[in-house]
Amino acid sequence: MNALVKLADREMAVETSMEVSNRVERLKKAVQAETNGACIERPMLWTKYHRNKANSDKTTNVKMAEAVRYVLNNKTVRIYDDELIVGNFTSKRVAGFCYPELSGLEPMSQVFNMPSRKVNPLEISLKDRFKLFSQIPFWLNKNTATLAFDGMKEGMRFAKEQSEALQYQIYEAGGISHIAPNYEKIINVGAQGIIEEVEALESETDDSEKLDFYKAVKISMKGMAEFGDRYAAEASKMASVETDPVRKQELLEIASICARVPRFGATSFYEAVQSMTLAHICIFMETLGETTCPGRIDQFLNPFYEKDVAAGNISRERAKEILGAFCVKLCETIPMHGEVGTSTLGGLTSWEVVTIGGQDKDGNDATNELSFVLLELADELRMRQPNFHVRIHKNTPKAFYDEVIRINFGPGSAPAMYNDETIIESMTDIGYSLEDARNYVAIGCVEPTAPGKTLASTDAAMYNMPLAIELLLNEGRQFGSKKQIGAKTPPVSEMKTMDDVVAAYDTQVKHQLGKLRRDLEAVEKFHAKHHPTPLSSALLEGCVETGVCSTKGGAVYNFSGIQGCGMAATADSLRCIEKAVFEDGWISLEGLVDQLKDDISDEKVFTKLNAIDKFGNDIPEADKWMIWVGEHYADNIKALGKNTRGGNYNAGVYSNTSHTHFGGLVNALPNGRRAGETFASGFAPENGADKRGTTALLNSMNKINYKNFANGINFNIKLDASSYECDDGKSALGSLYKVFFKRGGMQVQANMLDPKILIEARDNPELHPNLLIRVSGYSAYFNDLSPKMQDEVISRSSNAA
Amino acid sequence: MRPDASLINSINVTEPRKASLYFDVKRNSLDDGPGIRSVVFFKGCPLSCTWCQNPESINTGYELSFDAEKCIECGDCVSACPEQAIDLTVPGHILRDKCTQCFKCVDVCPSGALEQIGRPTNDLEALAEEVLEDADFFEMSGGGLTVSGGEALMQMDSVGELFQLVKRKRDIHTLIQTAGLFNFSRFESLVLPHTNTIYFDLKLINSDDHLTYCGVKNEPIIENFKKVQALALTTDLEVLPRVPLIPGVTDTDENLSGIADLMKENGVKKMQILPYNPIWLDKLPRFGGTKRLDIGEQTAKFMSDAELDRCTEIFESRGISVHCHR
Repeated sequence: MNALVKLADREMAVETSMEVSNRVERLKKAVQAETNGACIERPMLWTKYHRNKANSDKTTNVKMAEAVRYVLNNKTVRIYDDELIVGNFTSKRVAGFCYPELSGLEPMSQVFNMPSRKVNPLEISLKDRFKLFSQIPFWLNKNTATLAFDGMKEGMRFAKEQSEALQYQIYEAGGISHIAPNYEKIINVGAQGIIEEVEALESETDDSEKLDFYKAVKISMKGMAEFGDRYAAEASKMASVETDPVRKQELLEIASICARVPRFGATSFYEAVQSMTLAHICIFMETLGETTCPGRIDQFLNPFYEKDVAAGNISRERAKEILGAFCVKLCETIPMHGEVGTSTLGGLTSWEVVTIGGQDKDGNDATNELSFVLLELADELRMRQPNFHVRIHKNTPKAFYDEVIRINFGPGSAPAMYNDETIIESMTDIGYSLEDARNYVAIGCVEPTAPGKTLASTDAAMYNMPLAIELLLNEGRQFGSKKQIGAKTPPVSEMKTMDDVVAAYDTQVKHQLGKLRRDLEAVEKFHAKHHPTPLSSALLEGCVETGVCSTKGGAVYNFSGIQGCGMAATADSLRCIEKAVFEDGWISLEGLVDQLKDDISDEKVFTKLNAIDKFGNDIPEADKWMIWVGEHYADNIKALGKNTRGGNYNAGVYSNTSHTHFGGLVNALPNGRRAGETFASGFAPENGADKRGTTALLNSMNKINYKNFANGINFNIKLDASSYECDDGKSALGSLYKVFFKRGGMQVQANMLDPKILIEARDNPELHPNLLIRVSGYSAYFNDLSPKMQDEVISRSSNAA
Repeated sequence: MRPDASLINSINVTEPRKASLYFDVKRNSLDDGPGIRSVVFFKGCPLSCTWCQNPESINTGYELSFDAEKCIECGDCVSACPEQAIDLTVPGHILRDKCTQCFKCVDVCPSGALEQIGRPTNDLEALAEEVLEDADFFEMSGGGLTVSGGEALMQMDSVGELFQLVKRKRDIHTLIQTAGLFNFSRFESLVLPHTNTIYFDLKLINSDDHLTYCGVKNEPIIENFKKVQALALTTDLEVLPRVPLIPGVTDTDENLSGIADLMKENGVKKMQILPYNPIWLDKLPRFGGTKRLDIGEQTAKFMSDAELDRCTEIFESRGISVHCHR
């Protein structure tokens, strides 16, 4: 339990850390002190541009580019106290905004409740609420749902299904996004360099479509360059009235940097980071910004860092301060979700992933000084953004690996760890070159892609896997519903063997995925036709070279990622049907379905279903179903063929917070889960189903062939911080991960349980049925303790804290 | 139910004649030796310490455990029991005097509230396989197999063979946790050659106190400790003496000073104190057990850091470094 003391001490230590420069600490405090808001600037300016009749005859490409430039020229420009890296996403310090032309109408229609809603309230003035709400009529027939589908009826059907998100949710309807832009290029050649490149290509073609696209790229790049000018002007203006000579000097330096970047290539580390920051904000103005990922900044910033260090222009501390300011900046943007988004993508994260470490294009270790600097920042800042993801491979330096393990402990979440060996192979399997695969970054949640040249739409859709179980047990309808949402499979009275059950499952999955694909295809075509992205495309290799927008397949690599959510519940349900009905025969399939329809009211049936061994215990009979469900899913995703950009569909298994959303909509299942209960996140076993400890769990997890899931998986492993926080424990944790990766594991992220969890577990035992705690060298399941003993354990850990 | 103290309180400890039993394999243990380990708990112990953390381990034979928290009162066990030894109207439900340990009730229990404690070690190959499921983790972390109990060294044939079986397949570390009451010559020939480390528990330096609280006198234990410690000084064998701290019983200045002196005389450089853990109080009623001696109110609490510092100082002042998981 004293480990918990250390945890608390550490939290305080982080608060008062002198390690982060005082300036970054001040910036962090300023950002954290802000109320989360919603900003109307981008949607208002966007609407104003599109309402202007003078623009209506222009091509879609040109309209997009001019609208972005119009926003960049007219949005508020702010430089806050102390800032080294400048650039504001919105008119407020911390705020989100919506895209009325995409899926913004849902949050816009709920804008009046936004400041008062329970989950993720966003501050917005009454005047702004009226202004934003009044834009809805203009966009009613000009948004994804209405333009992607033929006829109002289909559009309404899609919008309604999207707002329920029962069978699946097409995230791509909200914008393709999910890219790691080629910031390296903007840093090196600037917007002007891209304009010159495009001009040279223009002279070589007379293809009107290409010329139209090039025209749009040039307009966007001008907008980006002018955006920098506006900060230069603002900084000069502020400097002229600044009385503090030190700050005045800083503002003058900012002015001179922004006069140069992102218009031109950067000449220093500081300029490079500033250039990337402004380019990052520009992308948010064009299309859904969330999940736009800076990527391997330790790699592409390193040449600037090394050059500056060699010339004596920068110290490590200064570089850390600049990167720290950049990291804090990424927390200034939050999503403005409506109710569905809050439910399936909860937590106000904007998924701006920074990937650290890993291999270079030749397969050598690429860890450098900046990798360590970023790890330190991850540890010291512990803010919502950026999401730090770490690449590990067999030649990762020990010092780096140990540091990654060390920062697993502390407040907030641990960095996710990725296994290069497995991921690189999964990527070359689906068509990436070895060199590009070795350069992968994580996008959004967990999705590996080659940066700067890929439109993988990795979060195209999320699919509710366990629903297929409910549907197969009720001829394609949910229990108690007459609505035929699934395929009409035979009644359970006709299912005489496990094979019959599996055949019905197969039919339901194919039916749902077929429907999903049709909707997704319509959305893809909508983007290509109505929402091209010339600015983002300029930062994706292949688009400028071929004169084809990324929404039409111009990038070097094109994929669509579809996530299966609730895999363990699905696999466990099949296992329980097999065991209870066909092996042990203590209940008939009809009897089981009757019980499921009645939410498993018979306590004995409930207990017996729950007692059946599930995935995650290193028990072959249970694990084989997880393997089967996974392969079946991956095969069926592969069988969907090509998307409209000419790329494959890739299977992924992660869930954001969709596991809770989907779980809320699915009735009781044969694994003993009652209606409405959450599913497990990502690839993890169902909550509490893994009863034989972490090593058994990892043995089960290692039976999966992760190469089937090139779109990425997430595996949240729950660990008791008190067990692993001592030096021996850290070393043991390092070994657990090493074994998992050595045997082909793909990704893992620790969820360290702290005293708060103990209190939660006492009050809601069902949330943490198998919470293992360590007390003075003794491990026990928390739920196994008497209430009195639980209180004693909690009081001890709380006293310690 | 407890072994007769007079019978075992001699250097020739009686080992059970029937097939020996183990009652649990705990995986991913981080506290029972270096690295990641699996711990096999053997059943049966010649001691009967009042505060035993594993009260289900004292008896050498099978036991029926009933966990009221898990019971859904379905009554299936009542009809399955041929001896009418289960009565749902009685607290604890099990009429221990009627139970013949046929375990038919365990087979039908849907909730796992009824459990058979004790599995035979007649298939050591299978037990070794189970342990080796985590061999990848042992090797990566420098961990391995720990045998504990009960008193693992009441079952030397099984322990020795188990160690050999796992070592034959993978090069893993083996460790014995012992309360010290065993037949040394049998240990030397059967177990020692396959053992890397011994965790040797010393509880009370006064033999009469030892008899009161642990059910046996301590002379043979101290004799064994000296022999084992001598091996540690002359061979590759690693020995870590440990003292479980029981408030008001073992953690007194007098007792700890006595143990510390004994350790110093025998060349101990490093020892471990085990902070008191009251969780055993929860386990006891499941086996129909009651506290044999009331060792006071403070026994339901964890120890404070100040108390642990005091205990640590007693050893460190004698030049013995102290390891302690707080």
